[in-house]
Amino acid sequence: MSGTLLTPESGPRTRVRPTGTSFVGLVGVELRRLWWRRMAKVVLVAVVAFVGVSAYAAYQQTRPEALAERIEDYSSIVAETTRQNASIPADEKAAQIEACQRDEAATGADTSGGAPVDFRCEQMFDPPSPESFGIVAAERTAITSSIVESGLWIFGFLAFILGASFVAAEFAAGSMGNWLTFEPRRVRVGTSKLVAAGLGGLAVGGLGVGLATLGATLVTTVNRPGADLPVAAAPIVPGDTAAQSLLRVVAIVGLGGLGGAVIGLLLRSTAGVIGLVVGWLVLVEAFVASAFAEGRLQPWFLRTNIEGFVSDGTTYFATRCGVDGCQTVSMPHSYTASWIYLLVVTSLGVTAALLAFRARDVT
Amino acid sequence: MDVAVRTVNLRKTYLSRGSRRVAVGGLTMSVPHGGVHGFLGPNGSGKTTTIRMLLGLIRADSGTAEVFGEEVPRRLPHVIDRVGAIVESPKFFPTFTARQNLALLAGAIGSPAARVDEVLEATHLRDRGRDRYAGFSLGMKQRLAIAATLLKDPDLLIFDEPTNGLDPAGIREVRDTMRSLGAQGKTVLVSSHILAEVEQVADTVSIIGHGSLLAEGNVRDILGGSGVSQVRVGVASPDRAQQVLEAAGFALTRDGQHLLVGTDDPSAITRALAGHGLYVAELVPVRPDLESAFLALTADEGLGSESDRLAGGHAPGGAS
Ligand SMILES: Nc1ncnc2c1ncn2[C@@H]1O[C@H](COP(=O)(O)OP(=O)(O)O)[C@@H](O)[C@H]1O
Ligand SMILES: [Mg+2]
Repeated sequence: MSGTLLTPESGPRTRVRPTGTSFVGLVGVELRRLWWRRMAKVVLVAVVAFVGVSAYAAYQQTRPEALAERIEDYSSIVAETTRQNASIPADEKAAQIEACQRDEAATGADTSGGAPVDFRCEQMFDPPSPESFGIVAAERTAITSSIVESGLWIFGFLAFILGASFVAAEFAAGSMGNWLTFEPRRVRVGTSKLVAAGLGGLAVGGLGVGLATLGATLVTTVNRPGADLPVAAAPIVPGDTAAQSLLRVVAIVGLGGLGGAVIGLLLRSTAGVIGLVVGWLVLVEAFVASAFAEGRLQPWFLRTNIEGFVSDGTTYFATRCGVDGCQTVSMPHSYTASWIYLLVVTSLGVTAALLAFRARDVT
Repeated sequence: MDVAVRTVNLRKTYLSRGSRRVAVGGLTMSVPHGGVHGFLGPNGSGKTTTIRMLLGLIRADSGTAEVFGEEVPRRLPHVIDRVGAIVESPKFFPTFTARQNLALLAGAIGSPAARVDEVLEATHLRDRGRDRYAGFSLGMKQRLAIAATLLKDPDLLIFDEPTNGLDPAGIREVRDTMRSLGAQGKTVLVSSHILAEVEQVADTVSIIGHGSLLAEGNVRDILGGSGVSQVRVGVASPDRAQQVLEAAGFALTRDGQHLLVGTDDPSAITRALAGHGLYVAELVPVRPDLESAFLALTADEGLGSESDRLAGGHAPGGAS
């Protein structure tokens, strides 16, 4: 190859020096990079696969033949329980129900705010409901939310990894330094990356929820039971409540993407982020949260708040010890407390990540 | 004075294993506007650290730096469009294509998309634009990095050891590129630990050791200032010639059958010897090079051990 790359004649033809780009433009560039990444495709495939498998499971569950089988099982169980219950004396039943109601009252008095927990004492000796045997007509909203409920954690985790590797890869490749020689305003650069990761997370969540809805629609269309099956109608979830809860799932998955980028910006290594997250999930969220202070620390952990946010308030289990020994009680955690918690944690994380990115050397 | 880059008492220390280690210790240097300026120093002398500070990638502990009269890093956003830099080695996303990598950078500065094609063309990478960066040879990576700097049409180009690891053809390419950019009136700041490289392309040079300036100025001045020029003289009877020249006041040393004579005017030697019936069979000016200048400088500073690591004229493709 001949020597000179650039002779004065072959110099740049476009003489105008670039004028820089707006913040939105910068986010656009980051989104493009996010989309080009292999990880984005992996996440995409994983979301599709998860929803596909879940929808298939729902399809199997609600097939008319499967329903017919379960109805048969159910009938024999009902016959059996009725026979057994008939042999228990009426006053013993009453005593058990009363004991149950005392517990219920005690728990209700103990919890502040939140709805009192219904122990369903009165139904103690009723035969199981057909619903608890999965004998319900395939219903779109119910299937969607059951897919999304378990999907939330999968989608959130995928978005988190996507966001974390999106930022950490730049440090790994060393291209962050190169990038900063094109746009040296660190806070602007950092923010654009966080925003892009958050939007990427929203896209993951949106895709997951969208596919779940689609899958549920397909399942209910295919598995509409014939009139010959005595199937209870599914409990009707009000449409806007369902939609709201789906939107909140999308928001949480978006937060997952943002959170990944925040941690990525702080740790600068994908392996480090994954180590931290797995350690956190296993050790802290699963163990520490319930092992200490009789489980009363749980409102301060992510899991409880994510559940509280998505499900419009949630409950967690704590151990309550009284004179008559210890028992597990269910404690309410409100929606409001959940979103405030998530907002505060997110703001702190974003601020810390941007400050650290502004201050630290990039080599 | 018309300076493109100036640093004053620039200082950076790193915390390593609990102790502070001085990477750049009060460096004051200036790079004139236009032409190629060598930034020479042994490995570990603080060249890369200095360049990173100029680019705002790392924060100086103290001291100031300016680029085109703007204080950096504070005013860096105002001058960054005029600065293209390759620090240490080209760094792009390995799984993206050359074109993708450039498109992102172009997007970051609001450069038109057509510019990507232009710079790929200018660096002979047009046919490889759709290939992944990971599959590029080092020479191609280097060219892509140069292409990236050209997206901005910069006035100042900073190349940090650009020929490291390149084959002779690649070294020649980079060298010619730098010369050509300098000839276009751009300022090229090129760091190197290889004397021959700087000597061949640079008009001016800053020499550093242990993070501070040892010498600065025109390459020619620095070479000249390092001591008297010498001439290697071959004659039939060196003993007699030595007597004659010493009598005539020349400083010389004996080197086997040759004499090494210090003078700026070789013809004076010929005249002196001819006057005594001695005829010169060989007369070769021994050009002092940057290496001896460097050795002299670093010896003064007690940096002998570092200068051992200098790859003098033994760089691949270094001689021409
Ligand atoms: N990130 C870092 N952490 C600790 N020490 C560093 C770091 N970067 C460079 N150094 C040290 O600073 C000194 C100067 O390094 P550098 O600027 O890379 O030198 P050069 O580019 O001239 O070879 C060296 O002693 C090096 O070990
Ligand atoms: Mg270096």
